[in-house]
Amino acid sequence: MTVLVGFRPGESSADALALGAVLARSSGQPLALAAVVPQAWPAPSMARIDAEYVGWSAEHAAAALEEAKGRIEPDVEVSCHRVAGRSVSSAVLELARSLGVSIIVLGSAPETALGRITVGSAANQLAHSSEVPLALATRGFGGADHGSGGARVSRVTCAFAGTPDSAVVVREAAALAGRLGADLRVLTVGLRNPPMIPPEVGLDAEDEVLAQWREQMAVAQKQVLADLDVPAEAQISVGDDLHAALVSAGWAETEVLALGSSAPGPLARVFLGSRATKFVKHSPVPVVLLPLHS
Amino acid sequence: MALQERGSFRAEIFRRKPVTAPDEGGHGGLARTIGTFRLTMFGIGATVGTGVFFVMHEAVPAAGPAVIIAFVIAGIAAGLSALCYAEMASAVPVSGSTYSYAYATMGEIIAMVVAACLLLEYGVSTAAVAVGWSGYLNELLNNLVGWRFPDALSNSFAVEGGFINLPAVLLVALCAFLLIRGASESATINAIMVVIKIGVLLLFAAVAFTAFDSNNFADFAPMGAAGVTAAAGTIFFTFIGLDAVSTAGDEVKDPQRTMPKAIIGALVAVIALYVLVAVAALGTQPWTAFSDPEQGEAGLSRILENVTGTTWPGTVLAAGAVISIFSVTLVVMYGQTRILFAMGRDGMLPKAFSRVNPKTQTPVTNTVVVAVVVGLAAAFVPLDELWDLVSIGTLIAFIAVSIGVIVLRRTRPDLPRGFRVPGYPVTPVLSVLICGYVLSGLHWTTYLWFLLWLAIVMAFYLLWGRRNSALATGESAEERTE
Repeated sequence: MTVLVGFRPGESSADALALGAVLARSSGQPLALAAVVPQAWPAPSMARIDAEYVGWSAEHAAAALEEAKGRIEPDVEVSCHRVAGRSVSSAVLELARSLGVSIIVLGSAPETALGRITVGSAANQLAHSSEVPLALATRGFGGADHGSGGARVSRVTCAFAGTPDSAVVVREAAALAGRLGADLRVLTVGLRNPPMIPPEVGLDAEDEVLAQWREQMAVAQKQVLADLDVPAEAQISVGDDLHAALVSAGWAETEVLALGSSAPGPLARVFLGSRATKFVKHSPVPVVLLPLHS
Repeated sequence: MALQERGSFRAEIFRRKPVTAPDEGGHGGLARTIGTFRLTMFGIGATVGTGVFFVMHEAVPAAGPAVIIAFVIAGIAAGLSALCYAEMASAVPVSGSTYSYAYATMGEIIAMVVAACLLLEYGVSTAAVAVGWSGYLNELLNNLVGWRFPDALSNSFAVEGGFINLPAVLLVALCAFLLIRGASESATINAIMVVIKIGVLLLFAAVAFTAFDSNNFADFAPMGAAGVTAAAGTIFFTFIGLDAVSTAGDEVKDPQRTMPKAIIGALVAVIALYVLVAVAALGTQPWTAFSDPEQGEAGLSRILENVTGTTWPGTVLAAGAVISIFSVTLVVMYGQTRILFAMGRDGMLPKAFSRVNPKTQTPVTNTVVVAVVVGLAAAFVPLDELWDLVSIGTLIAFIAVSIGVIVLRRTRPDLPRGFRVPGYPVTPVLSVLICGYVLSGLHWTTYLWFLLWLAIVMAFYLLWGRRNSALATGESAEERTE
């Protein structure tokens, strides 16, 4: 099994590379770098001008791969692949199938705010079609802390919504944590509702609802942890909005947030639900989207 | 403690919920930040819109022009109760409804009596407000697009030609949907609603005064004092919501000074507005005309149309009413769901009422049950049958709070109180007396319905709630010490 990092030559790939290296090191797997170049026209053109372009793009990709490889610490085994495809997602997916990779890693779009994730078009398409987990690096993950020094994933935090679907995600996340040799934390995130105004039954009526929700979630967490055969920490975090709630959960140095689809279908595919989409957008750490085998 | 008490029935039904500080801080950033003006806006926002748009049709035939006095009496009763309510809220730091205060101070069975009253104050008034809203919606549709819901679909079957009040049902369903989604109204929206409500009521007064005829007041109190008392009983529900000011105690800056200012400020504003509307309306037509069934729907709009001969002032008023009554329905229905929620947490109702849906983080089952019951009442019960039940429930709840203040001063003088009622013990005693007087004006059938309802709630409590109480199972004590 292999960790596959996909990128387009010429675009910043530092974050995805750093995350890929951390994942590869943690799981003891080799790292495959895939530079995706545009596909050549199937029929040769009259002046063979296309071949010239293909030649250039191959050189360009080779240089980018060389540069990328140079950034990976020597303790990780690296292989380089140049793949041609009409889109990053289809090319990466094809390579992933032929290599038999365990996880695909992509970076965030260049315009993303530091420390956040945006789901670019490639990530979006992969999220809808990948049969293996998809990891998305936060912007700036490749900064000094994570890119070097033999960093490993210290903890996998799994978002748990207290629903039966969500329990499936926890099991998948536990397996991921096992593969990465990381600790497991089950995190349930809630939002603090603003009071209804005018306050017919007091401005703190929602506190009671929140307290009840906490109790229910604590019970649900206990149940889901009892079903696992590995030890895990459980935490409930509440905030005025999703980002604040996620941030206040507290995050280890090299931690990832594992999310699953909210409605597992008959196919084992990563498919982003509306809830998962929000979590990705507000996560302060890299995210791993887990395909659910229902 | 639970074990010792289990033996004695009396100890069981009078057990009190221990008072503890609420677990969750935060209050959405409102801690001790609310000043007099904002608090007054809470009071006006919660009060105006529950009834003034529909009450004339019910109350004027009972008292004649003397309905003005009834407005003042009902208002004073509500104001005194609100002051008592404020002391109770500040002394008992539990999530704020009269039910919770009664449970903490006077025991479980009294809390259930209060709960029975609150179901009328909130649940039935939601239904009644929705029915009144449907009248203004029809008026607005009719004037704007020339189409209205046919009679069979906008009246209960108890009214001739009616079958189901569909707009009222739709309003209730919409509010339920919003509550399930976790929607809430902000202070800004409340302020906007207050402006809309006051604006359309002032518009009404201004236009109606152009047709003012003092001869309409010649026979001032045709029904005598009894008529005034009866009207005050019916009118009382228009002042429900004034207690919203009192529940905000924890978050109010300098409550001892702010609270009475805000309660009296809101009360004066509301009474002034109501009296203005009443005088203006009474000036336009003889008091006997108010009972005309034509004015049972969108009454204030109809008066404006009769006065001006054109539809636009009535249309503007109807539009304001449709918007602001919608917001009142949302707020009151929210209150109902959260009271039932607290009861579910206490084991007084099945746990389903306190289940929070993990996805929406709101009590979905609870909200759906409330919506179905309120929706059925709104669909099939005519307006005038509902209002007196709202009044009796609220009055008895208010009396319970006023007595509770006296009880608590005697039994727990040590409790810190952020606000102490001025003029103790005169204020709570006067509050009980005036509420009792207003209560005496209600028709005996209202009492009968009320007693029947109370009997059902008591039977449920004695057979089910008493055994499932969180205090009986000891569950709450454990949870609270966590």
